[in-house]
Amino acid sequence: MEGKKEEVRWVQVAEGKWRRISRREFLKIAGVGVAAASLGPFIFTEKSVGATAPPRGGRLVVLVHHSVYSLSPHDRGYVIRTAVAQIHNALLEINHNLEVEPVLAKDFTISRDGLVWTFNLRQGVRFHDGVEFTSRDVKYTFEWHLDPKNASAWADIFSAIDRIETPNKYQVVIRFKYPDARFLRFGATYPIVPAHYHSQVGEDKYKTAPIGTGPFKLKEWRAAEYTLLEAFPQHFRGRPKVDEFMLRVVPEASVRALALQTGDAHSSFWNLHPLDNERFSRDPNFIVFRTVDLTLNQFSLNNKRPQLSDRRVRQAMMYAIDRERMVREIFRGQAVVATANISPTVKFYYEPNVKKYTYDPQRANQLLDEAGWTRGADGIREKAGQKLQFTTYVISGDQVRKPQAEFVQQALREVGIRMEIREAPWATIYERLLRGEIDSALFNWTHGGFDGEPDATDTLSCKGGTNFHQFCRTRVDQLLAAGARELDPERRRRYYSEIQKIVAEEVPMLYMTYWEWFQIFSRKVQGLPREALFGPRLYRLAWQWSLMR
Amino acid sequence: MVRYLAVRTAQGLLIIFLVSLGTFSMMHLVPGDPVSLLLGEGGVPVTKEVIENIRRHWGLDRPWYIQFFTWFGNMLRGDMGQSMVRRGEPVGKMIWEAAWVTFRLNAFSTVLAVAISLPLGVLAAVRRYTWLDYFVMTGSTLGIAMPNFWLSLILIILFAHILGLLPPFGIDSWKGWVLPVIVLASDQTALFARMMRASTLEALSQDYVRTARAKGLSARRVIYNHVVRNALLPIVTLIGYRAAYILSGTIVVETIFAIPGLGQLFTLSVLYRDYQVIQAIVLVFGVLVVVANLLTDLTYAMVDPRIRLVGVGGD
Repeated sequence: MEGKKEEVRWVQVAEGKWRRISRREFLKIAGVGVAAASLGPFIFTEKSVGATAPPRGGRLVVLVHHSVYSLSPHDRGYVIRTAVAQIHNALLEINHNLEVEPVLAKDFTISRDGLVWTFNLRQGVRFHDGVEFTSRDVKYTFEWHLDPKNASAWADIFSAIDRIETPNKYQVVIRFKYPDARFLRFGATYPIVPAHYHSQVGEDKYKTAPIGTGPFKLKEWRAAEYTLLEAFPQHFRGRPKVDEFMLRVVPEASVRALALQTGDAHSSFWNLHPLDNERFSRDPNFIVFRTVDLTLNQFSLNNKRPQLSDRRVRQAMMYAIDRERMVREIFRGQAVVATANISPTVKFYYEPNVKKYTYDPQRANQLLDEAGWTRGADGIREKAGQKLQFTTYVISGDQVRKPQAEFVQQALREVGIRMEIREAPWATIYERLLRGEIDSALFNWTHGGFDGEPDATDTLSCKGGTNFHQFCRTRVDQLLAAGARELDPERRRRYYSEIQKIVAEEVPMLYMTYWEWFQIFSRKVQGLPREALFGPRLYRLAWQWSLMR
Repeated sequence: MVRYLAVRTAQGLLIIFLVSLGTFSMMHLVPGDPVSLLLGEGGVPVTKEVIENIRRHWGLDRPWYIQFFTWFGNMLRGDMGQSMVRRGEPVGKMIWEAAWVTFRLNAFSTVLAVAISLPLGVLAAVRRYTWLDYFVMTGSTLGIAMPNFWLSLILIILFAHILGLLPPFGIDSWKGWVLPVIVLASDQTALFARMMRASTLEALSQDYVRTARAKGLSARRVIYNHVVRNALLPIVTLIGYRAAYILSGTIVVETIFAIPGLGQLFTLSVLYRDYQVIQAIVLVFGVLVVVANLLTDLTYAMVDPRIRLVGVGGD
């Protein structure tokens, strides 16, 4: 049963330039946000328009804060993905405005029932070893995750797939058991590995010696020190302008700042100290992309604990915390106050009309009184012999969030709640939260919105794999299930907007802020886009950049 | 001598086994395993089933003592296993690469520290209460008091940013080694110089020095043959003892100068709960400390002929 009519089509108007024929229709299917609409003509490559041709050659050095321990698309984390994105391409990729951009796919269609996705592939694309990229590679890449023997962390993303057909070398037809809207941004964006090579060397070896279709190929890899990539001359969109791309591991933020200053590096991927972020933002020799993160900075709350199970208590805590002041004093203004579980960066799904908690200690006290918690002799509230107190865990040695926890401790104390602070390693906090053994912990975790995909089943559904809050609401589960199967973005939006309203009403966790990213570039780097909605995704454009001597 | 060595080796092996067992059980008794790190900060969804499958795949669902003996068995066959985080590479190779960097870093800085501190310490003792003595003592107080972290940054600002002579990080060329070696040598120099001064002073007050002087030896020969030789003993102890602190001592310097050494590897592995790597590093250090202690004792015998190995077999 082939899909009825083609609903989405992307065409290539010039080498490397893409234009959507029917934007409205695409928006409907793919959920590309309002952001895209506001950016005007939909052209992806930013060609230099100077009178002279941009200089070629040189080595672009980008600083990261921890080792690039794998070069396989299977492994997660921003640093790994930054390297992986230079070496590989995906059918569709998420760009720096969180839009879906067809790369290895020339165009794609989704059947009306959402069960058949047809990708037409680009022709003449070559892997770094010269072998042509075909539908077989797509099939292999996706199916690998479905074999339980491979213990893939991505198994869930591909689990809705029934079978993958390859009618010819340049077409892939994916048939689903049920519609899965998440596949657009999580599955179809998974970087393609070469079937002939990956199947032969295996995943473990592949992590150290990847081969992709990307603009750069691996030259030298020293995980803890640097990852050196070199231009791939046969890249289908053209050879990169620089000769080499290097990710350099410099764990200490102040040294990264110094290295930018001395010219030893051209960009810092990972944030510097807040003062340095400010300094570089003012420095005319640097270009800074300041964008809001997708990951929520929050205190998880064990909703099953008696003292935390009453919604009024959780709401009261939100009122008791002056988050505007927190942003100013703890984060030096480099964060925004959260309104619910989805970041404002995900413009299409972000719901601003939710219950708001502006600082109001009186309201907090009132709510706690209503809930029956009265102040004891020591100023801490109690009810039926139980004190209103809980313990929150901070990751050992966390210099940023420890002061944040202390700030909240002080604020809660004012309204008669005692919050104790303890430290533990992350792996321990993670495990004990999921077992429901601890009351609360302070850390950043995505609650929907990653790569622009609003699904939050993991964190907000009763049986979610990372339901840190022991939060369980039938209505939320229904909305999450419906949202994951709905392909029409407009209808999807309604589900996620209701979820955000419920989160704001129920306060499953104390949602505090979204931190800001500062991607800093030396002015020597030319060809950068003028704007970005989400800075970490900028580096996949590195092949278009050149270095001024 | 042979018997002594055999006994000490057997003791060493037992210690290493117990240290391994201790580390392993401690790591496993605290809840949490490396799988949590595979998830980053969330984002792409992972169900409980997927997580359980990964655990099974890596054998993390088995009791810790079974995991320990599997690991120990592989170890005896020379297989250090695979890192959970950096899976493509055998642990042995990772550790060897990192250890070689850390070893050189420490060797250079210790040699530098000894070369500077011993003459200074002796001079300060011989010229006690002169400007030279005060200079050495003040300098060494500073050397100990200055945190490595701060000193590193100051040196980077001065030599990389202002003067532009040395790179701010990395060990791509010999230039990259200069600053980290200086920083690491700074507090060692200070410590050794103080120790050398004190032990030289003590040696100077001994009867045999008076005797040597009385029998008409030149001041130079008295210092070289009688004083320095005796004063060296505590320094040798100190250097051997410091081998145990190499790891903690270099973490800061390796982190700041972005040097891929053992200190960095160890902190990251603990953070990631990368059991195989932690175990292997602990093992390597166990061996190192045991060997360093043994060497220290043997060096004693060379420096001080009064210490004889023959009689100590029964300890």
